[in-house]
Amino acid sequence: MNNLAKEIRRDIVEMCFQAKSGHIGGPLGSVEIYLALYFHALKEGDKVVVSNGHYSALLYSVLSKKGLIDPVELKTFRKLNGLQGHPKKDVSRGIETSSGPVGEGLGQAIGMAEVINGQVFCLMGDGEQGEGSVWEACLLASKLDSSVVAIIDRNSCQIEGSTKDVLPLDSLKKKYQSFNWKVWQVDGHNIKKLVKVIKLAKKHQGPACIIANTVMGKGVSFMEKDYRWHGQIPSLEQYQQAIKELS
Amino acid sequence: MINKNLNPKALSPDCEIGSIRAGFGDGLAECDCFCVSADLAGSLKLNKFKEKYPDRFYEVGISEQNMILFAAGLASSGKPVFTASFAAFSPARNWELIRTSVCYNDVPVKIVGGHAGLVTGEDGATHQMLEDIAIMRVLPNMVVEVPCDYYEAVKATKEISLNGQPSYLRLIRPKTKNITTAETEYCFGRADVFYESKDPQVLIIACGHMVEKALQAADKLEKQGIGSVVLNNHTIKPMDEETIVKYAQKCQRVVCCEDHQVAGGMGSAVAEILSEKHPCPIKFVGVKDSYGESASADELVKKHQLGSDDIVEAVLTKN
Repeated sequence: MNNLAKEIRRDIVEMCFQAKSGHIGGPLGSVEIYLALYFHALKEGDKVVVSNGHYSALLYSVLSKKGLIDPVELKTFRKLNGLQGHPKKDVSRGIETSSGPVGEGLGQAIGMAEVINGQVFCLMGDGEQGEGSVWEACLLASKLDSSVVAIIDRNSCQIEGSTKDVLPLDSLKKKYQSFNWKVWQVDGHNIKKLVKVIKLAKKHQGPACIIANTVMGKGVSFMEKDYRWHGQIPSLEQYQQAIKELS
Repeated sequence: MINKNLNPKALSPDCEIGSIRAGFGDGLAECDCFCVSADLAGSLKLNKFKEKYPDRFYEVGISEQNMILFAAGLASSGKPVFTASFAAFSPARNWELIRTSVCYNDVPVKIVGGHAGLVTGEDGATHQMLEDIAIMRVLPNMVVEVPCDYYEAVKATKEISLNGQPSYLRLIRPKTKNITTAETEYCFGRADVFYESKDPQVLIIACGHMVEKALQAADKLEKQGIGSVVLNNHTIKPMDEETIVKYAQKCQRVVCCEDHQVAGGMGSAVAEILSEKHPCPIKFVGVKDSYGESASADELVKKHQLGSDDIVEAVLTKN
C-alpha cells in the first residue's frame, strides 16, 4: 500500500475517532478507487458525484490532499460549523451534491452529464443498489445513451450483514448489463487496473459501470471484511492499533 | 366591492372559463429552462414547451424519484428546471428527494404538482392530493405558489422560473373562471385584496380555485348586510404577513378557504402568523382529515363543504 493511501486511511480513522462517530469500514475499502480517480483519471471539468455520502471522511481527506479543503479542517469533522457528517453540496470545494440517504447520486450524475462538457463519475455502494431510485436512473441512462460512469464499491457488506444475507444482488453485473450498461469488474484495490478500466469506461459510448471488488475495512486487520465496522467507532486501544498498522 | 383590476365578469355566471394547467403550460413555453416529464406531458400541458424546445425537454417515464434527481443534475447547468406530474406522485412520492437533492442542495428545481385537491374528481382518492401544501411549505429553501386562475398561472410560472430557488406550483385539473385578466397586476409574495367592503366584519383568505368561491361568498354576504375582505393568498410561502395582519386587525375575524387538508395547509400557516401577531377567531374551510373519492368536482365540493355557501355558513356561525 502506498504512502498516500496510508495517510488517507489514517485520516479516516482519526477523523471518526475524534468525532466519536462516523463511518470507517466502507471508506477504508474505497481508498484506491478514490486515488485512481482523483490522482490519475480525473481531468479538468470532470465531476465526481459521491452517492454513498457516509464515505464523507474519505472524500474530505482526498479533497484536503487536492488542496480543496484545508487539512486543518479535518479536525472539525461532524462538529458544529465544521465538515458535515454527510456531505453538503459545495461545488467550489469539489462536493458536487449533498448525499447521505443513498440512491440519489446516480440520477443527478446523469442530469449533470447532459449539461457539462467533462466526464461525470458516480460513486456508489453495493448495499445502495437496494434503492429503487438507482434503477430508475439506470433505465434513463440507457435511454439517453448517457456518458456517465458509475463505480460501485462492491464490498459485499451492508449495515445488517453481508449483502448476500440482507438483500442479494448477484449477479450485479448481469443486472446492469440487462439495463444496457457496459460493465467491468475489477480489483478495487489495484490502482493500475482501476485507472485502466476507468479509461475504457470513459471511451465507451453509453453508460458504463465499474464493479470494484473491495474489502471493507481494508488496511486495518481487525476491521477487514467485517460489516460491523460500518458505523462503529473504535475504542482507544483499537484506534491506537489501527493507526499503528497504518503507519 | 370587488377589486376593479379583476375581470369585471368575475362574479357573473357567464364569466369566461380558463385552464390553470394550460396557464402553466403557456407560461412554461416562454421560460428559459429545462423541463422534465414523468409520462404526463399531455395532462400537464408540457407539449407546447416540448415542441418549441425539444433539446430542453426530457421524458423520464413513470419514475418520479428520478425525475427530481435528474432535474437536480440538470440544474448544475445554471438554468432552472421544471418537473411536472400529478401532485399525488410529485411531491408526494418523491418528497425525500425533493428535501435532500433539491431543497438541501438549494438548486433551482421547480416542482409542479397537477391535479391537486378534491376537484381532481373521478379518478378518486389516490389522485386527489390534499396534503401537498403542507408537505412543501415545511421545507426550508422552498417557496409555494397556488395560482387562482389561468392568467395568474401564466404569470406565476414565469416569475418562479426567475427566482433561482426551489419552488412548488400547485395546479388543478378542471377549468375555472378567469377572475383575473392578462392586465391584472401579479406580485409574488403579496396577498391581494380581491374584495373589500366599507365596513368589513370578516376576513376571508383563500387560495387557488377557492378564491372564486370566496368572492361568491363575499357577494352573498354583502347582500345580507355583512361586509368582508377577500384576500387571494396565492403565495403560501413566504406568506404576506403584513397584509394578513393588517386585515385581521381590521376585520377581527378570519375564515381560511382551501381545497386541502385543514391540517398543515394554507389556513394553518395563517393561524401561525395570527396567533403570534394578532390572535383572533379563525375558521377553516377545507378537507377535514379525510380522503376524497370518485365523484364530480362539484359533488365533492358540496360533500366536503368547500362551496361558496359553505364559506358563508362558516362566516355566519360563531366559533
